[in-house]
Amino acid sequence: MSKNKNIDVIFRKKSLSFQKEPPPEIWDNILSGIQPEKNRVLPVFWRIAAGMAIVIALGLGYQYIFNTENLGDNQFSMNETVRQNIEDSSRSETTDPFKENELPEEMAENIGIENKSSAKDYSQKFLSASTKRNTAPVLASTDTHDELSIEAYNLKHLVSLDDFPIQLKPVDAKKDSIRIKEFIQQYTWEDLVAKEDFVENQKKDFLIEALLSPTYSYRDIVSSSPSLSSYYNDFESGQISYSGGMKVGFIATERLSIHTGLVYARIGYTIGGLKNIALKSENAYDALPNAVFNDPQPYVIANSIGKVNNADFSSSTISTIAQPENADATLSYLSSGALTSPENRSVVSDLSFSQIFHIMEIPFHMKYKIIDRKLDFNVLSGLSTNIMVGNNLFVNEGSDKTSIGEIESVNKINYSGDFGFGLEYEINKKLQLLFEPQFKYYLNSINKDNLVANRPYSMGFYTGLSYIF
Amino acid sequence: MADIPGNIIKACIEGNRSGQEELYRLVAPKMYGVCLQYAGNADDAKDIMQDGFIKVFSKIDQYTGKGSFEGWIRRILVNTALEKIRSRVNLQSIDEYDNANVEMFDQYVLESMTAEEISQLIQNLSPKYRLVFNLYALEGFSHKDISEKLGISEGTSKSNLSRARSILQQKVVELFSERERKDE
Repeated sequence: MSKNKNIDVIFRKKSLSFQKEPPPEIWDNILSGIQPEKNRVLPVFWRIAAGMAIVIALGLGYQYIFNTENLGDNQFSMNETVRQNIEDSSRSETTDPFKENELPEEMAENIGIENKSSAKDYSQKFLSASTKRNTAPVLASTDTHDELSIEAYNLKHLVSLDDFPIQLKPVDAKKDSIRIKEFIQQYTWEDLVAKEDFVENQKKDFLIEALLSPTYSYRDIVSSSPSLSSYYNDFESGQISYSGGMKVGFIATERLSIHTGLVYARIGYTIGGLKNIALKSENAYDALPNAVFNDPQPYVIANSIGKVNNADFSSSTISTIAQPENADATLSYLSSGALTSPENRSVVSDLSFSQIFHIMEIPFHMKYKIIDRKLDFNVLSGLSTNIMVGNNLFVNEGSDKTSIGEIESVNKINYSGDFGFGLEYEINKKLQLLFEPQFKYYLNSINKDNLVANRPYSMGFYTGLSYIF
Repeated sequence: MADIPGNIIKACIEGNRSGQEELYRLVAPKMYGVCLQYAGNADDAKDIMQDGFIKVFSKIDQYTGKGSFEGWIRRILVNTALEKIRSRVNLQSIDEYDNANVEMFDQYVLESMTAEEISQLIQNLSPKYRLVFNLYALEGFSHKDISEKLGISEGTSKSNLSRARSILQQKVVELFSERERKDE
């Protein structure tokens, strides 16, 4: 190195560390020269995600309320009607519409029974039940025949199922002369609604699921700067990986189930269009301050998450990685243009990075069955807590893949909104085959202190088995 | 060069006033030093600083994330300084100067000088030498780049650089000699 070069290097080093407090009026002048403060605008993707969440929540809420209200109406109707029937039957022995062991024709029509013999079966079940129950208090009420029909309809739903909670045994109608009205007198409202409870109780099973999926993952960029978004979108791309895990579920109602578990997922993206750069001229080395050699810095590969937390520039031969047409991005802590001069550098090879995040997901999903057949169709929605258990950045150069460290300043715990559909094929009463396409969008930015908010998303096609116990 | 926290840059992109002020407070001393070294005097340095930061805040949405943000600001200030100085200074003239007469000194003499002393020496150079020296030695540009930026020939750039070095060496010798006399 010549004497002149030495002088330049020392001048450079000293000059770069020179600082001086500017006069205070400069800031005032700058303020008067820049535009007024902008109002903060909620990023568009976040607004869409929030909108979707509200729609889903409203939909589920409406569904829940609607079902609850219906149930309430039925209960009220039945309660009142039972009372009315009791009152009616107790005061009109002579005009009793019921014949022994039979339901009236009109009632049979209303409850969908085609002939009287079927109606008899129902009445017999009622009668047998009535023999085992305590007598209910008789309540006064008035009645109309229409209301009785509604009541009969409700009774049909309660009694026509085989698994009635009370031990029912068909009896010989001739030996049992208790008529329907007496049954109603003896059969309490609590007995009738007990059937509802029983059905509910019976459905409160648990299940365990094992799922595996190929997963496409990428990220959404939220930034107030359009040029930043387009810049990153130009050279970053999605990645195909996999995820899988176990879930347990609680079958809350016939159609609604709640699921949680532990799912491992690999997500990430690819940073392409990179060059391996080597400095080739003495000038370039001379222009670098000693700090480059004495104070190793992270690689500064511009990407939508942050810096790579690994580097070793202590070697006397700097060979590093840079983005094309922007070699100074690699060593951007240098304000030097040394690396921007084509004569100072050479491209060794093309390469790309793979950014991988290892995530343990703890989902909390609600699954609602829209079609309840042998092949069920579900919608799934919920949130996941995503714990980042690992983070690797790989360099792909030809067929070689080398880990060079990890991205720094990322959030270890993130949350995502999940949405999906599910097909469940019932192999037998206990075992189901699952196919669940799912979409997952991170509700918070995965990175900290960066210009853009990086929100990963993933799409998976989960297949697996579900066992009910 | 420590980089600026992303949340501050983000706030500036969003036009947040407190974010802009925070950024300014963080980098102002260093950037004012840059302005002084290019301008050579406080008045011009203030103008460059003011115009440069107005550009920074108005064009911040054009920052693509390539390279460090501090480096981006520095480049804007340097370009602002070049525009300002280039328009009013004749950078073309070449002085004949005999480098042989320059007294040489040991490297430790330079090392012992403070950043402010070094900066003051650069500021005292005439504009045509100061710009070329700064662009070559501080920013790392080649003579070809410098010739394009300043609108001069590569030969002029080389000559001005050589002259700048000679003057600086001479000034260092004078400064050191004066210091020794005071010590005696």
